[in-house]
Amino acid sequence: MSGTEHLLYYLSDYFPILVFIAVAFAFGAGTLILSHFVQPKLPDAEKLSVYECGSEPFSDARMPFPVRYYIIAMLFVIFDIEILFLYPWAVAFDKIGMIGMAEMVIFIALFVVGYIYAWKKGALEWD
Amino acid sequence: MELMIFAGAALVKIAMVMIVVLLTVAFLTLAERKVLSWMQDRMGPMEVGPYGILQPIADGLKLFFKEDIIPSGANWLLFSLAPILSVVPALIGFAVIPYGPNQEMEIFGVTIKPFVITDINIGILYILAFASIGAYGIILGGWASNNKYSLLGGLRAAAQVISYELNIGLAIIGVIILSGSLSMVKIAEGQAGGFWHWYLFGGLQIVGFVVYVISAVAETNRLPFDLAEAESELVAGWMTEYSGMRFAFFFMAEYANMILVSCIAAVLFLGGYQSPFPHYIIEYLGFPGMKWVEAVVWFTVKVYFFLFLFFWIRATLPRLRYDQLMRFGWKVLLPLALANVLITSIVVYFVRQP
Amino acid sequence: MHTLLAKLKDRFPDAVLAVREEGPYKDLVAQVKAPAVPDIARFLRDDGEMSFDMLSDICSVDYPEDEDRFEVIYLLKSLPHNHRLRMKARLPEDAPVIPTVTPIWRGANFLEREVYDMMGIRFEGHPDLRRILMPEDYEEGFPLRKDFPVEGKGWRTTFPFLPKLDEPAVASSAEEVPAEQQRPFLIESETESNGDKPVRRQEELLLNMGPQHPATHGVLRVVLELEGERIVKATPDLGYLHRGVEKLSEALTYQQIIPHTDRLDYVCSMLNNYAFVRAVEKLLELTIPPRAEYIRTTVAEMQRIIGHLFWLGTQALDIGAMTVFFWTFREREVLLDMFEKLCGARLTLNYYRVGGVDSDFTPDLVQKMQAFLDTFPAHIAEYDELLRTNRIWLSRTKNVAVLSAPDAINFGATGPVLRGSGVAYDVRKAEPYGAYDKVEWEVPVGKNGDTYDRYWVRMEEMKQSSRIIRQCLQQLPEGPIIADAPQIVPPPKANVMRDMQSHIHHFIIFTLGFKTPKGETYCASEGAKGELGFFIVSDGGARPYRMKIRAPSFVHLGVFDHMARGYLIADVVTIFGTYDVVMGEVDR
Repeated sequence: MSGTEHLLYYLSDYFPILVFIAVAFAFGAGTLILSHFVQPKLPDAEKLSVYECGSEPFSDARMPFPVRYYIIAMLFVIFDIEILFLYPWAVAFDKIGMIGMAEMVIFIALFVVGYIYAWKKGALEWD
Repeated sequence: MELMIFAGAALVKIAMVMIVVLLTVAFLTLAERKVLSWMQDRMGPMEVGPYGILQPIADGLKLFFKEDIIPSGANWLLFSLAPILSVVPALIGFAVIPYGPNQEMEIFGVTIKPFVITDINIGILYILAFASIGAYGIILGGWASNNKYSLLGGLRAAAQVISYELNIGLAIIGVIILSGSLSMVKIAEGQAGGFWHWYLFGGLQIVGFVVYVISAVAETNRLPFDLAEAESELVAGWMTEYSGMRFAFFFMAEYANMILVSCIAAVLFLGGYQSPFPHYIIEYLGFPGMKWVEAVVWFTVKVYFFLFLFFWIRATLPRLRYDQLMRFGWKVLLPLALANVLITSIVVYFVRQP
Repeated sequence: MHTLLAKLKDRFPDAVLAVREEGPYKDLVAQVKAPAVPDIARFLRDDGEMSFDMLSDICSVDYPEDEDRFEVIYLLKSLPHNHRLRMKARLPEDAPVIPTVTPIWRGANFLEREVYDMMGIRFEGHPDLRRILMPEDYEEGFPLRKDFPVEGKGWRTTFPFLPKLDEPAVASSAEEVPAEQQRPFLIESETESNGDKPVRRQEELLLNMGPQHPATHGVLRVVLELEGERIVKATPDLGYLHRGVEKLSEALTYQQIIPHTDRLDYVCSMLNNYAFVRAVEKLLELTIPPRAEYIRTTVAEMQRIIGHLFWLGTQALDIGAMTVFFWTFREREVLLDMFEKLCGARLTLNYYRVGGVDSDFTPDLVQKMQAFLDTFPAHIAEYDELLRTNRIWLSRTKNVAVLSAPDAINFGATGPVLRGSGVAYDVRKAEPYGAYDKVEWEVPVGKNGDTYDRYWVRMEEMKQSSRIIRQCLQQLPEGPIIADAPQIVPPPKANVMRDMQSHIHHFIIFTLGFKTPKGETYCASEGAKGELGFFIVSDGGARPYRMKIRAPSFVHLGVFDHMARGYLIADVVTIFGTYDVVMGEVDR
């Protein structure tokens, strides 16, 4: 088997996923479009106004929001990447033996240090 | 020619899975209402069809023909894209779920696995990756509506989903260590031979299982973690401004996600389609060729067990507050899951030492 | 003369114009000069013998013929000594201004705003003197003044009721509300620091919660100033359900007012009926037959259980536990069925009459009630199982919306809200009425004043209520169910058709109503939400000259901002629930 063929064979597993994504998108968009043609359209000013419990909104909703949310997002990115490294290790767990094991314990220890740091800094507090 | 057959078989399988999932979603809404009703001393829907079994169809038709309002301040494109963006990942996750035994059959010389759409070797990662995209649907929907309740709901959803995704990612590492594979098919296969071989019991992944189930409830924004929707606080959260078919898509995505996480839980921890006994009952009865029927039934039973659990939890528990939710996710579940990874790896290492 | 009055007169010989004990019940009344009100109020609150630590209500009366047209009446209550006092001040028409008492009793904030709104009396030094029940741009005057036009086309006709369907859709609703309108809802320091231009920090936003919101228990609007999810300031905006009951009742005879009281706290209309007829009976000095007293007490406690079940269900639902809601409604249904048997109605019951009650208990009903009492403790245990042993519920209620005992008294909180903070003040014990002093029961009190304690107090109260009902049913004496007072109580229908005298009485009572002696009286009863008081000023006619309702929920909403600050949005619904607000009572 040549290299290209090998790659093709390998990718053939992913082909149904591609098809599935296309089908799912088509289902979503198609239903919306179909529904668009059969539904009534009777807009008026009140109906299209933003819902804020029946009162006039004080301001536009799109405004800066507190930095807390970014901290959570940043923590997620950091920790998620660290967790991602655990996957190949877990798959190859039987093959890498003692050294792999020790390395990963060290890695997790580093992870825990970062986690404790974030905790002590109050990044995990919702205030 | 081979490619045609291959594609055709894939399409047939996709169509089958989509139909089954969408029908399940439809009747899950009814099942939920019925189960909740029985727990709460009431009847539930009774009007449409006998015992209300046609209610989901009536609901679906109503939403389909209903006016779909785009509020005046909304961003049209994102507002329409968000529901699709949340329903697509929920559906395509089913591509790697093995809902029957890992058999192969040959059609015109092409080998096909009938009980899984595709067996990719990173199945679980694929699901996690696309589940993250589902969060975008919620965030974009919340932002695009130009409504403060939606925005707050979207922000809550974003923070919540990513926090609990972390825990899901950690909780399943124990299973991966045990199976040595990321392929859903291989993971399910590895648990054959009775319920004591399931990773929940045989692999002692009880902590991982609990963390996974709790995080899965949070991932799907269900009570007690439905803070993004929180009808008593944020009216309807990120979908406050949605109506008609777009709303239906968010609804569909929620229920499809429920089924998806239940399927994953069944495969990872409860052996998927594996019988709880060493062999399939039907084999004992003398029809070994029909064992795939029983396998599918076992899989369905396990999935429905989790779905029932979702309803049960909803009927029992009050909603958490935001800070409590974040604290629980980051300060309780995360250390637990991490400890589970460490202990599992150490135990497995020493047990497997020759 | 009463020693307190003498002491007050001695202390302020000039400012106190007159002191007297009024009416058959010797109510303490002090007539004072308007500018001296804060000084006297501070003395009344702080002096050990006086200790009028709670301001029950502020009422205003309009006497257009008098030289000093308006009268402001402060209804004071001393919890340590359990006595009441009325402090009155007269104001001239051309300058209806009186100094505020908000620094002394913080609960006066809302009460003074209501007086301003209804009577146009300005309170000097009040922090936020705006209209409270009427719309802010209301321009037709002050409704409770006697010269307010009650007929003809009013302001409402200019209101655009119908949506204009032919208007083109607006492109965007992103216009900011003018700064002037935002100011009342922003925290004070910010508005002051920058002259008169209110400033908001960039990431703080103003959010309307209500009137159309699933968890505001009716049409209540609260404007939240938020920083992220944290509440910087919460401003309740009332009046969406304002019907002007007080004004309406000035044109109705006393019996005709009873159905209107049904609609105050529509979840517990029996208790409103009870409070109102008691006030009228106090005015009339009417004694009630013992059987009627027992029936009244029993029915009132049934209604209290209904009210608390309703509160439990909705509070749990707000926090997300939906099953409790349906379970409590199951029991509520049983009680409502009994009410239906008793008086034919389920919600707006109109069962109490001046002088007694409308219909008698049947043996069948008594039996049903006893059957209910037998099963009820098991049901309470069911709710407890779902909530009290649930860690999420505990963490959502413990240490949330803490209200200390001194604050609770100072704000005028009553009922379970006050008792949750550890103050054992219950009108049924402090000023017993009905059969409450003839049966054994206790007043449950909380410790920390948090939401959990208020929850616990209400759960205990349900148990105490069933205890009271059980004893009442045991002791239930035989006899008439309505007083024998032909001038006041309508004769039985059978007599009306046969007996000439009954016929005349019937005719007179239902056309002209009964006359009450000239005077005024305040009568407090324990509603499900707190102290429900009726202050009636009678000019000797068949209709009240002025009727003021002291609605506990209204007073409780005055504490809202104090309790909500610093908590999260999710706690706002907990706080709504913990007051058990019913908007029919708040807006009247």
